Amino acid sequence: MTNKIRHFYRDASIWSLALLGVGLFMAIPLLVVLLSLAKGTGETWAHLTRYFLLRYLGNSLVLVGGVGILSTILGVSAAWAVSRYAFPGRELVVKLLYLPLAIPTYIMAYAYVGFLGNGGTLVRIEEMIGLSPRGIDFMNLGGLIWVLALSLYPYVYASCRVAFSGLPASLRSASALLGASGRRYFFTVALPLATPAIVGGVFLVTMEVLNDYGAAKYYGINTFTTGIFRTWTALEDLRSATYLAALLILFVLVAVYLSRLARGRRSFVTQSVPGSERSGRMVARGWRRWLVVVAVGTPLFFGLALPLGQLLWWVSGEPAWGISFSLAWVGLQSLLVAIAAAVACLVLALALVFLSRWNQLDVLRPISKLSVIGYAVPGAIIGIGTIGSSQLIVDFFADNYGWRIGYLFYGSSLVLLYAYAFRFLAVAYHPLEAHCLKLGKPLAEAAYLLGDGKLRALRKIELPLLVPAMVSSLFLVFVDTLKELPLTLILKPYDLNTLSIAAYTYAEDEQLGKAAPPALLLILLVAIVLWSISFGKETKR
Amino acid sequence: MTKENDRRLVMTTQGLCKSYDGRNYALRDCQISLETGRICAVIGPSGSGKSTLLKLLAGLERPEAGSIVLHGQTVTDDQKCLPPNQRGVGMVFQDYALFPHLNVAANVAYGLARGSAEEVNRLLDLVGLAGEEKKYPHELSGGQQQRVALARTLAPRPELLLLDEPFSNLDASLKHGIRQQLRKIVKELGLSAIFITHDIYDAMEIADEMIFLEEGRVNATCLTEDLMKNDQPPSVNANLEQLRRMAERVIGLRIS
Repeated sequence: MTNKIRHFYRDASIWSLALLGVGLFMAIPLLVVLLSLAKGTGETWAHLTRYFLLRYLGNSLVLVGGVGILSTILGVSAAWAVSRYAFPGRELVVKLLYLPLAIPTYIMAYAYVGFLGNGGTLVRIEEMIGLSPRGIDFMNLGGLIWVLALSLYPYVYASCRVAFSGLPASLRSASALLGASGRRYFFTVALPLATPAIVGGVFLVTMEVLNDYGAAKYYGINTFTTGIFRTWTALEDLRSATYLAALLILFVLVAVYLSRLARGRRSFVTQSVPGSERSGRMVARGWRRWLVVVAVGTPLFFGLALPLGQLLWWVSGEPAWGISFSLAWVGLQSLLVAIAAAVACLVLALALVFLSRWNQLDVLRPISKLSVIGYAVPGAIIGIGTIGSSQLIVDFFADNYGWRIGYLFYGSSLVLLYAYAFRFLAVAYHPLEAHCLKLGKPLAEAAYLLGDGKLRALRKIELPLLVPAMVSSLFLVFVDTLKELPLTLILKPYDLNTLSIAAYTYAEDEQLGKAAPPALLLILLVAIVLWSISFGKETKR
Repeated sequence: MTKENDRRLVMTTQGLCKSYDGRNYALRDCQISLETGRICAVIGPSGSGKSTLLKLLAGLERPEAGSIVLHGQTVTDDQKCLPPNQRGVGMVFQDYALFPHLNVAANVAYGLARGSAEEVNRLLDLVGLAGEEKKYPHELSGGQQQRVALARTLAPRPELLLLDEPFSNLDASLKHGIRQQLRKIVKELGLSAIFITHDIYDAMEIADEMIFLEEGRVNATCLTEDLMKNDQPPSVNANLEQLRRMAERVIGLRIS
C-alpha cells in the first residue's frame, strides 16, 4: 500500500463522511441541471435561439453593466461622504443609507411606476399646481437600471464604508505632506485601496440583478431569468429552460472569474501598527458641502423617500386592507417561513463549518466552499434543479415501491425550504466562518487536550462563543427570505401566501394600491432587522 | 534500545515529517526522545518547526511520515493517529486559550470529573491563585492567566506536559519568578515537559536538556549543564563551539 492510501484510511473519519453527505445534499439542484443537459434541448429551443437568445443576452449584459456602474457611483460617493465628512445628523444618515436594501427590487419598481406613470402621483401633482399633466414612460431598460441600482447600491455602500473607515489617518497625512490635494488622495489612494470592497459589492449587485424576476417581468424586459420562467411556464418546455439556465450558470461563472481577476496580485491591506489612528472626519465647506448633500441626498431621496412616500400614499387610499386580518395572516405566514429558512440555513452552515474543520482529508476540503455557491445561482436555476430532483425522488418511490409521496414534496413547504437553504446557505455560512477564524483553533484544541471529544467541545466551548455570529446569520437569512420572490413564486405550496407573493400578485393584476400594505409591512419587518444589524456594526466601528 | 530504556522514555519520535502545503516541509526527519521526569527546551527561530513538533506530539496535526511513541504506546504512525484526548498529554498554549465565557474555577475544573472543587482549590493553591476562582480570564493579568492555564493543564494529571512559548507574553519582571515556579511544580509532580522558546535564558533556567531546530531539522541537542560549562564538551552530538555559534546565530545571543 502506498503512503497516500494508508494516510487516506488513517485520516478518513465519520466527519469526512458527514461532510461529503452535506456537500452532496447541497449539490443536488446543480447536478440535476447539469445532468439534464445530456437529454438534449426541447422543441422550442430553435425558436428561442432564433428570436430571443440574443435579446436575453443583450438585455442582461446592459442591465448588469448599467446597474453595476450606477450602484458603484451611488454607493462609493455616499460611503465617502459619510466616512470623510462630518455634518449634522451624520450618524442617522449613515444608517438610513442601508435601508433601501429593505425595499425589494420589484416593490421599488411598482412604486416608481405608480409615481411617474400615466395617472400616477406626479401627474396628479402637476394637475394640482396647474401644469399640463404628463407622465414619464418609465417601464423600459433605463427605468429598470435606475430602480435596480437604487435598491441594490447598499451592497457597494456597506463594503466601501468598511474600507474607507478602516483607512489609517497616516495615509491621509502622508499624502498631504507629499503635496496631494484631497481629490488626488481620493482617486489615487483611497479609491484604489477600496477596490476589493467595490468589486465585492458590485459582485453581489450583479448576482441580484441576474436573479431579479419581479421587476424585469413587470417592466416587460426580457432577461435570462424572465426567459427561463417564460420558457418553463408559458411554453412548458422544461428542457429548453434548463439549457437557458446552464447558459446563465456560464454567465455567473464569468462574473466570479472577473471578480477574482480584478483583485490581481496587488496588496490592498493597509499596513498599520496596532493602535494607529483611523482617519478623522472634517467639516465640509463651500462647494464640498453641496457635493456631500448630493452624494447622500440622491440615494436617500430616490431610493427611500420617494418609494416609501408612494407606498404610504397608496395605503392611505386603502384603509380597509391596511388593518385587515388577512394582511396579518399573510404576515404571520411570511414570518414563519422566514424563521424556518433561517434555522435550516443556520443548522446546515454550522454543520458545514465544523465538519470541514474536523475533516482531515484534503480531497474533501473544497466542499465547504462549493456548497455555498447557491448565493451566486439565480433562483430560476434553483427552481428548475429543485423541482427536477424532487421529481426524480417521487418517481423513484412510485416506480420501485408504488408509494405516492408527491404530496410530501409539493403539498408542503419542504421543497421551498430546501431551495431557500440552497440559495441562502452562504449568507449564514460566512459570518459563522469569519467568527470561527477569529476565535482560532486553540480553544477547541485546549478542550480536546483536556479530554473532550469533538461534539462535547463544540457544545461546551465553541457554540456558546459563536452566539453573536449565529444571531447575525439568522437575521441575514431571515431578511433575504422575506424579500425573496422567484423561488417562493414557483415552489410554494398552493395555500401558502407570503408578503412578497401578495405584493407581486396584486401588482401583476394592476392593483398597485392593494400591493402597498403587504409591501410596506415587508419593508418594515426587513428594516427593523437591518437597522438592528447595522446599528450593532456602527456602534462597534 | 533495551526494554528498560523504553520504559524510561516518555516520548520518542522516528523520522517525523510534516508539510502544510505538500511542497515545503515544516519539520523533516525529526528523531528525538525524552526520559521520564526530564524537562526539555526546543529552541529555534520563527518558522523552524517548533510549534509543528508540539502539535504533532499533541495529536493536533497529522504527519506525512514518521511515528510517535508516548509512554510506550505508538500514538501516531502511517496507519493510526490517536486523537488528542487519548494521548495523556497536556498543553499550555502560547495565548493560554482560556475559555473566555468560563470563570477561573470552571476553566480549571474543565478537564476534571464532577465534584472536584477540592482538586480545583488544590491546583489554584499550587499556582498561587487561591481566592481568584470567581474571576473571568479577562479580569486577570498576563501572569495570572498563564498560571490558570497551567493549573487547567495539570488538572487531568497528564504524564507529559507541552508548553508553547509559555513566557512570550509576559513582562521581563514576571518571567524569572514564573520560570522558577514552573520548574518547581513540574519536578514536584514528577512530570515530564517539553517547552518551546526562542529565549535561551528561559531554556537555561528551566530545562534539563535542549534541542535546537533550524529549518525543520534538529540541528543539535545538548544538556543544559554542558552548555553552561566552559571547559567540557557537550554530551550529545554537537561540540560546544558549534553549539555556541548556533545559539548566537539562531537566537542572537552570545553565551559566556
